[in-house]
Amino acid sequence: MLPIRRLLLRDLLVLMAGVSVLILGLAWWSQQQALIRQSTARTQTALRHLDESLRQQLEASQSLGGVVRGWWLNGALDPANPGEAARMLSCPCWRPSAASRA
Amino acid sequence: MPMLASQRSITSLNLARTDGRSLLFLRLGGVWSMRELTQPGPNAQVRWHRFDLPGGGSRTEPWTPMAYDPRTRPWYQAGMSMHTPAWIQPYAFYTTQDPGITYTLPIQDQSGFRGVAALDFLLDDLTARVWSAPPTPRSHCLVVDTLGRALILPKDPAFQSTEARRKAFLQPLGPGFLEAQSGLVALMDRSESPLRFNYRGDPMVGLVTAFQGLPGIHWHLFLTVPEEDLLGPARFRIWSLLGLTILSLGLAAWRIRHIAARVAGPIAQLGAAAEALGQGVAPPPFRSNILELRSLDRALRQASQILTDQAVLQRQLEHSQRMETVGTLAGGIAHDVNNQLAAILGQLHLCREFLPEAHPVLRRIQRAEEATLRCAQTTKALLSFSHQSRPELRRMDLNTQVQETAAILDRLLGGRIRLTLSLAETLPPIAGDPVQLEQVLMNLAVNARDAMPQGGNLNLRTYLQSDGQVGLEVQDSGPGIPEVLLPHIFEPFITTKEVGKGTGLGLAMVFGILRAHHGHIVADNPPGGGARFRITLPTAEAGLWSGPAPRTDIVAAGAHLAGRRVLVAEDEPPLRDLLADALTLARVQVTPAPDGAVAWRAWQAGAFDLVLSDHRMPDCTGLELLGRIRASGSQVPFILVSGQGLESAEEGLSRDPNVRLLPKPFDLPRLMALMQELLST
Repeated sequence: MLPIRRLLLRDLLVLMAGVSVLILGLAWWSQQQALIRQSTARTQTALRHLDESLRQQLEASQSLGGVVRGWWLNGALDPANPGEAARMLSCPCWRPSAASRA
Repeated sequence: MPMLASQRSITSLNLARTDGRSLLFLRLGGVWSMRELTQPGPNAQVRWHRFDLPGGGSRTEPWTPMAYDPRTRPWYQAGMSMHTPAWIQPYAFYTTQDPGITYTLPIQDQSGFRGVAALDFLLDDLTARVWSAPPTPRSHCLVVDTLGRALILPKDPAFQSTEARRKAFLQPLGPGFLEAQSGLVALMDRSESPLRFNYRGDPMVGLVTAFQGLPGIHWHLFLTVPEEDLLGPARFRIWSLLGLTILSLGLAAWRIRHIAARVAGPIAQLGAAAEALGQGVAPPPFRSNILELRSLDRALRQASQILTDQAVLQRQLEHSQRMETVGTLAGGIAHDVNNQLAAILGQLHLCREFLPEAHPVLRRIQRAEEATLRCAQTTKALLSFSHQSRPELRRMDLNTQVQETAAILDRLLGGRIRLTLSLAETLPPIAGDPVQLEQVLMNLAVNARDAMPQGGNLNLRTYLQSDGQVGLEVQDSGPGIPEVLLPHIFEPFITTKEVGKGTGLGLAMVFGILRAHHGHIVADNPPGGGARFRITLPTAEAGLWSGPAPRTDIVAAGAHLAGRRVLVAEDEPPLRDLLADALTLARVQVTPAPDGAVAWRAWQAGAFDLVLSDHRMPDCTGLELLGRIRASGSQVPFILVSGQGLESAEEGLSRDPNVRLLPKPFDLPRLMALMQELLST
C-alpha cells in the first residue's frame, strides 16, 4: 500500500526527472555541437586571416620585385650604377661621398 | 618617396649582374643600407652606404675586401634557371646567416640574360608578424613547406629567444620537435575537419590549410587554438544555463511536493473519513477547495446519513422482531394457560355449586377462584403486550386504584422503603382495566424496590395534564436507569437486575398494557436523582369503556336453558368436559366436539339452539365454523370463546346480533348469563 502523497510525489518526480534529463541531454548535445561548429568556424576564420595576411605580404614583395625588374629592364636601374639605384630605391638625397667619388 | 622606404616586409634586395657586380639593399634595425660590390670573386671588395644620417643624409664606408661572388648564391642560381619570377626554397642568408625565403626575378630580355633580382624575407620577420596579430591570445600558428620544415614558428615559450628560433627554423616536424602539431600533418588532405588534441594539458583545436597560388610556394598553414579561447564565454553561458536549469528543477520539485501535499492531504482525510464511516462513526469535518474532493465528501456524508438511517431502521426492526417474538411466545403461553385456568375456574365453580352454603371449604374455593382470576389477568396482560388481547376497559377512578394498590404495596415493599402518595384532588375518571393497572403499579414498585436494596423513597403522584389526560408519576430515589439503557428500557429482555433475578419482561408488559389502554409511558432520570416513570392515560369521556359483565348462577340459569340443544366445540379436553358438565347441570342438551371439523359435521347432522365454540382449534377455527354456519343460512346464536383478541374480525362480528365474544378464562356465571341473553332474544 502506498500513500497517495508519496505516489504523486514519486510519479511526478520521476516524470520530471526523466523529462529534465532528456531536455538537459538534448540541450547539452546541441550546445556541444554548436560549440564545435563555432570553434571550427572561428579557427577556419583565423586561419583564413593568417592566409590572407601572409599572402598580402608576399604579394606586396612580388609587386615590388616586379617594379624593380621593370626598372632594370628599361635601363633605369643598373647594379653598375649604385648612386642611381640608391636614389631610386632607398635614399633620394644620396650623394656619393668623397671616398666613393675617389 | 623611395620604394624601399615604405617597405616593412622584405629584409633585403639583391641585384646581381651577369658580370658579378651587385648591389645589396639591406634593412638592419629599420634602416636601409646598400652594399656595393664591383669585382666578385676571391679578391672582391665591398663598401657599405649607410642611409641613417639625420636629415636623410648618408655616409659611405671604405672599401673592404670580401671574398664573395653573388653568382654562386642559391637565389642567383635559381634565377638563372627560371624564366619567370618565383619564390625559391628557403635557405640561410649569406650576410646574416638567418634562414629566409627569396623571391627571385630573372632579368632577361631580347638581348639575353642580364642578371637576377632577389627579395629576401627573414623567416623570423614573418614569424614576428604572425605573432603580432594572433587570432586568439594563446593560439599557435605554424607554417611548413612541402618537406614539413617549419617556416613560421608557433608562439611558444620555447621559441622566445632569437637563437632558439634560428635553430628551429627549417627543422622538420616530428618526434621531439613540435610533436603535437605534427599530428596535423595527417589532416593536410582534409583541411576542413579540425583536429582536437591536448597540448601541454590544454585541449586544442587544430586546423590545417594549403597555402598556394604564389609562384614557387606550396606551404601549409597550421593553426592551433585552445578550446578555452574559443569556447570559454560560451561554456560559461552553458554552465550558467545548467545552473539555472538545476535551480528550476529544484523549484519544480519543491512545487511538485507542494502540489502532492495539497492534493494528497484532502484525499487522505477522505480516506480516514471513509474508514470512520466503515466503523460506523460520523466522518470528521473536511476542508478543501478542490471541487471533486468536496463532491466526494458530500457523497460520504450522504452515505453516512443513509447508514445512520438504516441503523435506526435496523434497530427498530430488531425491536419489532423481538416484540413480535415475545408476543408470539406470550400469546402461545397465555392461550394454553387460559384454557387450563378456564377449566380450573369452572371446576371450582362447580365445586362451590355442589357444596352447602355453610361449608368451610367454600371460603378456600373462593380464594382459589380469586387467585385463578389474578393469574388470568396476568395472561391477559401478556396478550395485551402482544396485541392479542383487548383489556376490558371500564370507567374507573385512578386515585382509588392507586390507593387500593398502595395498600398491597406496603406489604410488598417491606419496611425500608417509604411509600408516599401525592394524589390530585379532582381527577376525571379514566377508561381502564383495574387489574391490569394494578399490575402496572406492582411492576413499577417491584422495580423500585429492587433498585433500592438499602431503602429509599417511592412516590406515586397523580395529576391532570394540560391536554386533559390523566397523568401518573412513579418516582424512586434509587441510582436511576443507566443512560445507555434508557432508549431500550421497555424492550423485552432488557433489565438492570442481576442475572437470574429479572426476566426483562416486566416493563415490556407495562408498556403493552398501557398501549392497550391507549396511553403511553416514558422513563427518565430526573435531576434530583432516582428513576421516574410518567404514565399518561386517556379519560373515560373518550368512550373506550364498558360496564361490568352480567353474571348468572348455573342453577338459576337452568330455568331458562333447560332443554336447549347446545353444540360445544373445544379442543381442550378438560375445558370441554367442564363445559359439558356445567351445561348438563343447567339441564342443557350438550353435544361436545373435539375440533372444528367434528363440530361442523355435528352441526350438519343435528339441530342446535346455540353453538359454543373455541376459536383456536385444529382443522377448523371457531371463526371458520361460524362462517360455514352463517353460509348455510342459519342465524343460530354463536358464542365464540378465545384467549386471544380477534383484531380485525371483532368489528365484523359485532354487527351480527346473534354472536357474542367471550374471552378466556371465563367463569361459568358469565357464560350462563351470556347464553341466557342470546337464547331469550
